Amino acid sequence: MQAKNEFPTVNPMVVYREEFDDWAVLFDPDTNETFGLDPVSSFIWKKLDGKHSIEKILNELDKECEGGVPEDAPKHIEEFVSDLKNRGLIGYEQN
Amino acid sequence: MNNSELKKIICKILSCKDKIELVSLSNRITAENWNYIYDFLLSYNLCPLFYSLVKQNDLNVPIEIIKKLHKSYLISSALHLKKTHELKNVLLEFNKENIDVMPLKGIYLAEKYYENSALRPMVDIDILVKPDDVKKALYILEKLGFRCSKDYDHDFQINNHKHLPAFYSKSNVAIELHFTLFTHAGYYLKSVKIDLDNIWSTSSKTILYGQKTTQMSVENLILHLCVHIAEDKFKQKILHLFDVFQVIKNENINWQLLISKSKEWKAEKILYCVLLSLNNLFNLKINDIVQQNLVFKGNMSEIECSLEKKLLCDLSSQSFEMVSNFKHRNFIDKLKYIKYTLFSDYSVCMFYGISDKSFKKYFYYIPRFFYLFKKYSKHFIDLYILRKGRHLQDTSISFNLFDEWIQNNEQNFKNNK
Repeated sequence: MQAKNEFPTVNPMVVYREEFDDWAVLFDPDTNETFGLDPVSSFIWKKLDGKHSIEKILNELDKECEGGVPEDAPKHIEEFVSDLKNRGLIGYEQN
Repeated sequence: MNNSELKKIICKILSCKDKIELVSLSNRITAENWNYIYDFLLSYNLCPLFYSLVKQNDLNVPIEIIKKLHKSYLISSALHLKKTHELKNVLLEFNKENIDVMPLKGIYLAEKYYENSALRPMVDIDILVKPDDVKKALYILEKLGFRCSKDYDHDFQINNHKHLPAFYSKSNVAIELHFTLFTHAGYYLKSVKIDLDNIWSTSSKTILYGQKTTQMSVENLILHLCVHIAEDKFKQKILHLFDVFQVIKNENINWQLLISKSKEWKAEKILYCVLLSLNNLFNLKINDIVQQNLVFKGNMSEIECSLEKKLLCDLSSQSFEMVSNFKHRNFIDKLKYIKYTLFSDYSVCMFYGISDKSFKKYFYYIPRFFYLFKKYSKHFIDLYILRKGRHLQDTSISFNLFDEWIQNNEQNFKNNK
């Protein structure tokens, strides 16, 4: 679980490419791995700037989605961010 | 609607800018045709381009086909990111050593002429350096971690080929280091002559991925793309035709210069065939200057028909080769073809990475025979079918007619202005 004063931030070496259909592709030159991000994941990725907590990202996502986010969205976002962390694609800034 | 007509509709869709016409064209495709169309798009590397049109124009395509197209698009984008990363490093290092470098074909076209580089898939990165810089460039590639996947004889490659074998980075990105643009080692085009000094002297500087690089003049670029299409005998080269279409659409072409260069390169028939195909498949009007200056003898409607068959052919690459070169040649010609393409010193030395001066090459003829037998045996079925099938028999006659016409570079203009 992420601490409240931790703000996820993307690894600056990772290349992010936004596609015309709101999907995106990530490329990690360290591992040579690439990842496809769907529009929601891509939205979250863009908020990983060291200034947004997961709670804040969730609030912004909620505003973007028609009818709000589903109930289990916080769990999914936590898992997604944790997966990014495990793959070395993001780190945390302590504020 | 037959397969050829379906492919022509796809080509029209690819080149169409009008949304209403796009929708009307796509509505002509029925539900049962989509799987065939997907296979066609996949084998011709057109999925990303088609996907972008489908999404941007909301075309009526079955959802399962859209999903598959989307996957191809994402793969193309991911591979492009990897290639960009590697090329950026290569250009940076080449610049440090003052090596002039010219990115060729896919990687250059994707960046310069496509709205989005993922729309132009490519297998490898092709770059051209001056012949004197090859060793220095090779040293840099190796320093960056690129490795050749097979042994090769450097001098043999330099003397007989246009590029070194592919070098692979750790991320499996392949770079082909070209030192010239055309060799006569191939069986198909014999008369083409490319003036490499002119290519370099008429080139200009540009920036690619933030790095200084060199680009060909537009006329040389078009001719090089045309010759590249012809080197592969025009077979299934729709994406490459689309490259030329994009260049012509986006540049002011000096048509007079292009025609005169095509004559210098002895590639005027090739240029004409490419422009004719762009007209037939992508509705690109042939410029008046071309129409007045490039007029050939021969039954042009037959040539045109054969050219279209080659471009839209359904046969696999190897079967195509066999159809094109083996059927309807007499016995002596067949032996010559086998000797020249399959068992020439060139092909044996090239394949096994040995010097053409080494006597060892003679030991490699038997493994070469077994290798080719294994590779082509499954395509013998095509030859068998050809003996039986009237349609394919006609196709092979048509291919040969076209090949003989394009290889015959006697001055055969009706009106050679």
